[in-house]
Amino acid sequence: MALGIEKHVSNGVTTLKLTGDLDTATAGQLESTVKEIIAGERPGIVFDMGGISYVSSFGLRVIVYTSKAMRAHGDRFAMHSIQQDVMEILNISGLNRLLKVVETQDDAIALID
Amino acid sequence: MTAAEKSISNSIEKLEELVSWLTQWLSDHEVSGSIAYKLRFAMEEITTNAVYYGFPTGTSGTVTVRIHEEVRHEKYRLDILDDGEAFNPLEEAPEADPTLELDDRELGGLGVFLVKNLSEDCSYKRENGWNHLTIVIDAESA
Repeated sequence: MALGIEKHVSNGVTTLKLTGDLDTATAGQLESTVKEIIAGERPGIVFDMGGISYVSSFGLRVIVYTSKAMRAHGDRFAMHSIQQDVMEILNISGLNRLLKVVETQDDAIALID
Repeated sequence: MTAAEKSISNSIEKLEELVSWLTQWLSDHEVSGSIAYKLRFAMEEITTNAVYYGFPTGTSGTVTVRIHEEVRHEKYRLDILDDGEAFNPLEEAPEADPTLELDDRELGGLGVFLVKNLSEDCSYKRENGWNHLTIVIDAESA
């Protein structure tokens, strides 16, 4: 399945509503989108993962890349609404404790505002 | 016992054909949820590594995936074969460390680590010029 990326900007935070598969074939699209946002002024990024049913290790790589890159921008990066199977991958990788993973969009915004 | 097989040439563009084939097979056999996720994950990681790193530049080769249903809706076996250079990902792939902090992490390296952790059993053999990885995934894995 393809990856859908819907972009909403509100109060200086860009929310990417993601749908479909974040896999070997599609991870590059998300990385390009993230790079564009980071090139802007005082970037803040939220991944809405509610529509993502599959993440491969290439997908994890983009998530780790985003998190590391956002270190230089006050760590203004959070993710929410992660499906159970995807969460299991994050847990086994030990990424759950390194990323700002929350339940809702409001929680994500509150964390990075 | 149900089984199926699909082969591709070792090109990056062909990897999606394997994913489409497997997801269709899973859907046809009403395999869903966590076990379907793990089967796809294992196949995608191993075949991607084989195509990206397993063949000397400019050489052509084959990657073959077989799936066997050992216990209906409970237990599946993937056999992944390639005729690239001898490489045992279970031993030779760089080992990821889930305890590392973000700053110490490389961007890659999680794939094989996750496959090992999501499966009940993984084994490797080199046979007649083929790398042959067998991965067993069951409803209880991980």
